Amino acid sequence: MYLLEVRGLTKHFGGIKAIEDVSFRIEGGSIASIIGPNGAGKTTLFNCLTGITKPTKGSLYLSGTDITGIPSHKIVGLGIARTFQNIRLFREMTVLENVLISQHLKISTGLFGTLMKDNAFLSKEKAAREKALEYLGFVGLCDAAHVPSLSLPYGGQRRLEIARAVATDPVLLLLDEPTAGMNPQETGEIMEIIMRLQKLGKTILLIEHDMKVVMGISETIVVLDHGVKIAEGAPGAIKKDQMVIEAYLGRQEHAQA
Amino acid sequence: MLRLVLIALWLSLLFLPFRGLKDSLILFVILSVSFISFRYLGTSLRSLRITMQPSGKRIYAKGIALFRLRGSRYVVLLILLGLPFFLENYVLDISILTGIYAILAMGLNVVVGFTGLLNLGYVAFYAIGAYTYALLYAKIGLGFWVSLPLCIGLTTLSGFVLSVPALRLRGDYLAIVSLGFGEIVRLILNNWDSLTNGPNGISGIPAPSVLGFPLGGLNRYYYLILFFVILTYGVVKRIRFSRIGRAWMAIREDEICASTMGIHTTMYKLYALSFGSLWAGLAGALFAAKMQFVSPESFTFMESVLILCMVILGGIGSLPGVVVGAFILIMLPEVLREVQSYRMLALGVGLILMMVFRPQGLLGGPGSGSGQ
Repeated sequence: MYLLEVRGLTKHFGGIKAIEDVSFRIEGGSIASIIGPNGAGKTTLFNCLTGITKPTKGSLYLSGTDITGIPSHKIVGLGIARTFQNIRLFREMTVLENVLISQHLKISTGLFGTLMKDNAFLSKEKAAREKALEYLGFVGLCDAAHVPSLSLPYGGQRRLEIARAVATDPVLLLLDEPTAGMNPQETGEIMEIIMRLQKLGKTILLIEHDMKVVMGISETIVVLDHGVKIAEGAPGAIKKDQMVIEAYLGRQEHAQA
Repeated sequence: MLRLVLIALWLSLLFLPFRGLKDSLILFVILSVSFISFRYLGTSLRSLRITMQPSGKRIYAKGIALFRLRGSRYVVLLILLGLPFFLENYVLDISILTGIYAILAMGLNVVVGFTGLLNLGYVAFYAIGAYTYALLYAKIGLGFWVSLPLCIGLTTLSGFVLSVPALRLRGDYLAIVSLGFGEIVRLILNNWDSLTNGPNGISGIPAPSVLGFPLGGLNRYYYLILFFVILTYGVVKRIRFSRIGRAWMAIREDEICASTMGIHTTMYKLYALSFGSLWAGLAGALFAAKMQFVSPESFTFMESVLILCMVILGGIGSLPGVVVGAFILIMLPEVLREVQSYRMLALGVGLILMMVFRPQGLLGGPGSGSGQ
């Protein structure tokens, strides 16, 4: 069984066809990428997958269960977490608190216990904190746990977003341009984090523009253009695909005339 | 510079036909001087702000650090417990009022400060709390301690009921709806003569007593209020540092992102509005018992604004901050009573300076109180 199956996904915004009949499947434990020019519908696809927008048509399956149209706060519980293209941290909160929030569904402290600060509450909070520090350690942000997240440097903010998503303990992790605006060294660090995540058994779906990242780590690539899937396959095949080249570089119509 | 003078000249020329040459000349001089001085004031304010901010930050950092010292809370408690022995009755009276407003400000802080929902009709819940106690006593003769849970329950319920339709709205629209709700409640209280006695209000509400020991005197009532302020502070603080409080903060910072972290944003906004209005119910009952009289006059829109100012002045989201804010905004007009009509001016200037030099409020700011 495939971990994620997208069947005939269609999303229209009024007259604009953001996504038109896109289908693909992703195997568990793999790293897959979605690429395509700007406006191809990649982020809309992510929004549909995480329940932020409801698809117009089509269905989504996670490990065989239908997750189409489930609201986003429930999707997280089913095991899909994401990061955002334009970083969306809880800016005024500390780095640690950011990661604590994503454990929202895991901490179950009763109201009475919270008010009394009883032992169950304290131990659960402590466990959550330790877990959060663990996740921060995973992306190398342990030392910055108590600074406000808006004071992190850009690369740190990206890594915090990943840590926060991973802390929801997802099976499928959606990363929306995790290396946008980064220098080669920072990009390398992110790639390394992604590969370590795969070793932990996470399935990763990337949106990425940096071809070095895409070709370097992904096992399958889905190419979207104007909301339509134009190619799917291994990196080697995608590189040579005529449709993909045209989508990126334009058509050579009158060249051979 | 020439441009400013020309604008002044043009404006005073407009007045020439109506007021004559002499008046226009005076107007011209006044206008040009004020325009030019405003221009310089603007630049000098900017440079003043640049030079002042770092030192202001240093002083504040020290002050806040002092505030966060471990033992400091016990010192504050000791001082508060000892106050009735030193204060004259008048000041004690104001302190009781400060306490009631501190409870209100902490409650509103949950809604505005933690969750980021602008509520301009908070006074409605305050009014519901006060009137519930007043009516329960006047109509059925229930005492304070029996009425208190009912006051709190009814206020929380009304907070919940208001939020259900209001939560379809965001930001400014929610503010307008809540403002409307505040006015509706006040108008109902004002016009439902048969139940609320209209603008004349309800009088003769008794102060509470414990085991036959009356708490009506200023001294004793002060301790009662102090108890409830500390209770409010403790409960709100503990909720703030639990998953519920974190969920509220997350909604304030980024609602969509919060929902992708598994937070049911609508539910948590409902919790915030209900939990916030709970404290208004408590404060309302305490207010009614203190004044022994309630009338719609006490629950105008300006009260909502005053409570909101306390939250903003003290520092949005910071609990000690809003208590300090309540203290300042209740005490300041009393201290400035000497200068009578200028006190609102002083208050206004104070708030503006606040926005210029410390927009995050006295004790607010990123990470405020998050260290626990």
